[in-house]
Amino acid sequence: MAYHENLYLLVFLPLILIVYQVFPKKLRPYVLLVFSCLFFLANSKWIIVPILLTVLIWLAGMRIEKIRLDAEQKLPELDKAGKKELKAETEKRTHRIMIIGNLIILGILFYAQYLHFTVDNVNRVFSVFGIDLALKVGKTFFPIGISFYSLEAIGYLIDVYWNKVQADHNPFRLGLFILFFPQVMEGPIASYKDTAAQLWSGEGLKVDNISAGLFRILLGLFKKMMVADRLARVVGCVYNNYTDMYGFMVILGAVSYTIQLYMEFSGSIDIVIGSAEMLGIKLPENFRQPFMAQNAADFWRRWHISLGTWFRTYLFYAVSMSKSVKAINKKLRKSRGKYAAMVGTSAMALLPVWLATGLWHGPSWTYIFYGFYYFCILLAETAIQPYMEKLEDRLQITAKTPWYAALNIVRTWIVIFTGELFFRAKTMRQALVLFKHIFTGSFFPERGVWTILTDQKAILLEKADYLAILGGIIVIVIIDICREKDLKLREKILQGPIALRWSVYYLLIIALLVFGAYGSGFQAVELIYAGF
Amino acid sequence: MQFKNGLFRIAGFLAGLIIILLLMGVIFSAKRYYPTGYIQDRNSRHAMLTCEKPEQVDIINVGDSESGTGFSPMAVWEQRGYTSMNIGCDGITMPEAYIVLRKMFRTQSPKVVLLETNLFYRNGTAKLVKSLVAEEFYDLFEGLRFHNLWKFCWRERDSRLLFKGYIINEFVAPYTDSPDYMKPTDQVDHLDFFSEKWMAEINKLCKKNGAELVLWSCASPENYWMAKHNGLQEGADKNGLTYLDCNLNQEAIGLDWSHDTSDAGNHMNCFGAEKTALWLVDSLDDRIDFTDRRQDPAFADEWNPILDRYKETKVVMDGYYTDIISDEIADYIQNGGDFHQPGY
Amino acid sequence: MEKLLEILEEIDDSIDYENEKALIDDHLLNSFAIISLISEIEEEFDVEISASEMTVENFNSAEAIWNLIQSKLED
Repeated sequence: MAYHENLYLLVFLPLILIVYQVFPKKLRPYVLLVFSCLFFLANSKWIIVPILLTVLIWLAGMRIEKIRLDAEQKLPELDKAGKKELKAETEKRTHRIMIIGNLIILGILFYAQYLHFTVDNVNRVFSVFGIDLALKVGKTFFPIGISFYSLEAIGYLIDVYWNKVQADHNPFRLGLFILFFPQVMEGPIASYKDTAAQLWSGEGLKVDNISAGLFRILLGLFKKMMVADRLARVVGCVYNNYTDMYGFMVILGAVSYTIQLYMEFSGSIDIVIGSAEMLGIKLPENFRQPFMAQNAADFWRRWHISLGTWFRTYLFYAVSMSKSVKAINKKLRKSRGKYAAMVGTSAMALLPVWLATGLWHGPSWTYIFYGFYYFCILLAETAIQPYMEKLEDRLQITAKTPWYAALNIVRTWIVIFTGELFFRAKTMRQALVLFKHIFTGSFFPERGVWTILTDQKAILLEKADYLAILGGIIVIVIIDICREKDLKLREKILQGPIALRWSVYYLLIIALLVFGAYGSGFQAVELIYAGF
Repeated sequence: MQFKNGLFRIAGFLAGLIIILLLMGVIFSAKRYYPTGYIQDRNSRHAMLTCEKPEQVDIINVGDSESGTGFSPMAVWEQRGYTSMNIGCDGITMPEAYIVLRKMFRTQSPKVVLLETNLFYRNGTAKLVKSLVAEEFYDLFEGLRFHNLWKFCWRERDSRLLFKGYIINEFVAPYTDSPDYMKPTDQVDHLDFFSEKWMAEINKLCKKNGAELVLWSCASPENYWMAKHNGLQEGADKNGLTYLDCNLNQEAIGLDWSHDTSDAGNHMNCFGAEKTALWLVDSLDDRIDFTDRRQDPAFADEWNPILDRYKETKVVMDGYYTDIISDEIADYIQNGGDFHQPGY
Repeated sequence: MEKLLEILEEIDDSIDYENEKALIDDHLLNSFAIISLISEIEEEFDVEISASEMTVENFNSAEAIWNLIQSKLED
């Protein structure tokens, strides 16, 4: 049961809203927890995994707190040297708990996601040397959404260790934080501080919240049903016939996939955030008009924000602020100057972050490549930035000069499309073959692009479907531009007269019901990110 | 209190929504568009059902693609004079079959409902519930089912004609393995909980409407084996139903695997479909009182022209479909799954 | 405070640091700038800032950064 399916939207969600409202305030969080478990079970039987994670971080968090409290009690009785020693000792012990806890979480994640991949590659490496290890592993399990809530669990544990949040004594609240049904499949990855207290408040439903949430959900469905599910066919055609493709079609495929992914991922996140909003819970945003980014770094501050934030907080800063990196930084500053130090530090901190980001998406070399690709791009951007600034000064342009901004946006698009071309491929071979087609062989198909696109046998789309895609994209582009310019369109509609609000709702609904891609026997495309 | 106030607003909003849905039904009406040939997806048999005159048929055949390609109503009309219709669709689920039958009983009173059994092994709880929810909505608001008619301005008419729910396919791709694939065994692939439940529900529905439910399995080495037969027989016995398995009666049917299948033993082609349909009807003939209506002008006036067109099309189509169907089949075989006509 | 403003100006001179209260929230300073900033601060004020202090609240304005440095110096 995924978020775009009738079962969720027409049955599960209304049901939980009613049950939630009927129960007294104190019991409502438990209603959420029970329904979250049911939602998980409807998708995967491995609910034991998130429960285990919850118990683990619950115990570890309390243990860290206990050690600190014990130390605090002893502190006044000690002299200065003793205090220092005790502090160091406390730090060491809490650090150890945090590390062990995280290793267990990562171990489970590794077992579920990466064991097969690792074993396969170990076998392959040895076979190069003529040794046939033939290591085998049995079936592992794959609890849905594990990549998402594992990060949440790790984040909580580090936050407790960093003293950013108080250890939670209530395992059910932690469980709800991990398992909350809208987020459990594909994020957004929240920090404990963001959601736990809200989830546990048990505030009653409000009509305003429901109507705002509904608006968001309709918007998300619009993105998926108007654009994403249709473009998926174009993309599928290019990737399934990758050995026999034309340059133009490859580019079209990469662009289509990028649009599809945005519409589908941001659309399902809209449904997620809208569902939570109906319950009066505010989840962190995951997208901020990514296609208006000025450069790749900017793109990643706008695309899958919650993942970027997580990696920045818990990995990027942790690496770049570590003693060894700092020491190298200092040395470089002295010997080679500030610029070299900045580039060097960035490289050291970026590499693990981007390899991890790539791998996070799943056990595949294409994802590793994808991470490495962005590492190179981001490092290059950092390295040339001072020179670009000088150039901008000389030409008397700034990032706000319209033509220059437009140029930057288009340049960033090319970076994004190339990245997604590799991201979508099943194997590196497929990606490279496709990439090569752009530059070799004939660029345009002899049959004509439009003939192929409307070929019912190849793509299964009709002319009218392309109209729907185009119309859908135009609507979303307008909405995104309004957001970028901070016109607060949504707020204006939501607070406007009821006639305006209802007409917008009805228009959206009519658009979905008439022009949306759905119907008896139509196979909606499974949520892409739910597979990560 | 604010919330109670809100409830009224929610109710008002839903009322508006229902009006929209009803309006959609007026605009996207199967009655108006079915005769034009613009309804092309797997809903076309639903549209046919909506347009069919009431009280037309004695035999209804329902099921997935195995049944749709395995039963030719026009052959039954030509040889025996009984009226019949195909109303299943590719990859049909059990709730979907239930709902299309329920719809059919609103206008037709068949004596027999033939239910092809392949659907009982197409499961997955989520899929069943999803299709149940969706189909109930489509059934309630027909405009939703036929919403894709908005595309018709940009669409060419389809020349594929339904002959009482059957699409002619004369492509031959022989099945070359042994026809002796139903090896006797004591193993039983039991029906699961949902299959048993839906079988009983469909049976109840037919009984209530005065029709006898008959289970049948289309001959298909790809889809049937003995343990599955045993499971179905077990289910049929539990419900006191007749079960006709073509896989075990190939000789009686006169099946020729080098000629009667369109995709190497997965589906029947036109030749197989005609043989199968006649055998099924004959198997029931001595027990059930079907009426030969060839001399009844109320029927003959409508059915004979269709039969003429059926025969003409068979001649014209000899080879015509080869191109389209064979590509689809290539896909089908490659993907090893159900080939869905996209139902957009 | 003077010294801090100097460091900030050096990193990006297009920002009005005295009044800007959302350096991070409005994405005026990116993570690379923050890293440079921290190494400058650590050198200049001889303090050590750890990963756990990398919060939005601590870096959203010049004043907040100054307070962070002060608290470090008091330790």
